[in-house]
Formats: sequence, C-alpha cells, structure tokens
Amino acid sequence: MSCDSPPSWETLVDWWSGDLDDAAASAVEEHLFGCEGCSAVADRVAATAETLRTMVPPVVRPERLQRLARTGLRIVENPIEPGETSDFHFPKDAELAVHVLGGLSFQPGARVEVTLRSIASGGVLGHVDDAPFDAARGVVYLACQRDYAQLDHDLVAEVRVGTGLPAVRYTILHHF
Amino acid sequence: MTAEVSDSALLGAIAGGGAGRGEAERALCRRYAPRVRLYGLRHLRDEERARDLVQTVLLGLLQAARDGRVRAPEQLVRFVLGTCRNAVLRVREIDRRAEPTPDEVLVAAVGSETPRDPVNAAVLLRCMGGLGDRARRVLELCFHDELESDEVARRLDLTRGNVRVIRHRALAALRTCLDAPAGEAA
Repeated sequence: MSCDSPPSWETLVDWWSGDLDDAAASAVEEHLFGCEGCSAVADRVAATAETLRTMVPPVVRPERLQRLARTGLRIVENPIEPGETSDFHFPKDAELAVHVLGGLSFQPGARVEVTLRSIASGGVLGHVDDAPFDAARGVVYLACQRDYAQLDHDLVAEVRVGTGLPAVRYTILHHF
Repeated sequence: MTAEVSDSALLGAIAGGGAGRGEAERALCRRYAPRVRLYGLRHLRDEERARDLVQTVLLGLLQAARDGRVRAPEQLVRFVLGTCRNAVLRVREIDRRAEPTPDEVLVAAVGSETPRDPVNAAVLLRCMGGLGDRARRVLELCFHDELESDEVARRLDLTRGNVRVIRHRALAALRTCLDAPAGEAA
C-alpha cells in the first residue's frame, strides 16, 4: 500500500472499528507508520470516534446514566413536570445535569419521540424518533453538559408517546 | 532539523553519534510519536495507555537507532510496528493477570474522557443533529457501546455491510460539519 494508493476513508473507519481482518489491519498499520499524511487522516477518524465514545447524547438511556453515576461523575437531577418552565442554574460542582421529564406513562413497546426546539428561533435543535425512556419512573432523561453553554440552550422539549397523541412540553431556561 | 529530513538521514545521524544526534533523535520522536499514539488508541482505547505506549516504543526505537540496528526506512516502520504490537500484547497480558472489576473498567474509561483532539463535543453534538436517526443509532452502538458490526446489524435489522456504509458515511458527514467554518455547522 503506497501513498500513491492511500487507504480510503472507508478502510480507515473499518480499521478503527475493528472490521478488517488481521492481514488487512496489519497492512493499514504498516502504511500509517510510514506515511504522515495518511496517519493524519486516520487521526481525524480516531478523534471523531473517540469524542463520540465519550460524549453523552442529549436524550440519554437510563442504563448509561447508571453507569456514569457508578463512575463517580457528579450528576444533578432537575425534575420537570409537563407544561412547567424550569429556570435551571447549572451547579458549579456538577459535571452533568439531567433534566428528568416526568409525568409520562409508557405502554410496553411504546415509541417515544423527543423534539428539542429553540425558544429564540423556534427552530429544531434536535429530534430523536425512537427515544430511550425510563418506564419504571415514567420519565425521559435529557442530559446537559457545561459545554452546551456554547449552543442555543433555552429550549422547549416536546415529548410524544405513541402516535396521534399531543406532545407534552417542558420549557427549560439554562443559566451556565 | 526540519520535517523534510528523510528517515534515512535521521537514522544515519543518530547511528553516527555526532553533534547532530540529539536533534535527529528529537525529530524522529516528533515524527513517530503521533503515529504510535494513534496505534495505541486504536488497540488500547485509552489515552493514558496510548501515551505510555509512545514512551515505551520511542525509547526502544532510540536505542535501536543508536546501536545501528535500524538503518533503512522499511526497517524503521517494521521496528516501530513490531514494538507497538509486542508492547500492546504485554499490556493485555498484565491486564489478564490482574483482572479489574467491571467498576474499575468503567472508572478507567470515564477517567480518560477528556477529548484529546480539537474536536469540540458541543459542535459535534450540533453536527449529530444533521444525521438521521439510523445513522445516529449506528454511531452510538459502534462507538459508545463498542459493539461489533455484526451485533449492531442484528439489533438494527441491517446487514453488516449496511452498518459499515452507514458508519463511514456518517463519520464523513460529521467531519465535514466539524471542519466547516463556525456558524456553518449543521
């Protein structure tokens, strides 16, 4: 594999993901050690994948929250009821805030949609078609990290359980 | 000594032991450290261990170059790759002897969660908003849950080939979004 025929982006992603057989992975690695340019491209794959591995998605699974809590991460919960406006000040000693969108009930196999809408622009900040939820507590967890201060962060979370039902709305005003 | 100096010239200067040895050694280390770190991250999935690997491999490389055991660029690549492989095997062997508890594994994983690259997590999150649900789910299962492609395919009722295509296209879309000038990200 010479630098006249560098490994493709697809090959580098497969390599990083462990989807190449041993011989192909070795060939990629040998090439990367000998080629600064391809090594830099592979670094971009790695940086993106590693950031994905460590970031907490906005609508977070209960199991993941439990795992994060077990690591000692300082998590603060902010319970919000349907229709409520929460004026939320991100605590200085917290590493992760979780808005607990309550007052929901889920049937077995329920499909939940979550839409995050900017108060300032009305635009959609994020949408999850098949959102995770905590059926036992009747809540959806919306994660918030301090980094999100850079984003448009005063929002309305619309949660729709099942089809044909109106969305339940929660308004969150963040102060970082 | 600039980056344009060839590996052969650097190895020659190191083996020769003259006044330029120190500078050649620094240049060689600067050149190979990022590549060894990348290998370490790929195989150990841990920034701290990857940094340890860089030290181990570069120390071995310097000694081999001083002794004249590595002279040609092809030898250099093979030496570095071989040393990386052996070092990673040793790390894994040590891990097997002192099996950590699942909680220790989790703590170690989160302890290394500082982004090591200019990728801004908030911008990445915004870029994720430009992906479809299926692509987001594939990325989550592949990179966060670290599932193999076959398992991701099974869970999402896709083929393994579908998973790979969705994954590399999604990552490419994220990179395009991340590299866009501020304000143009999705």
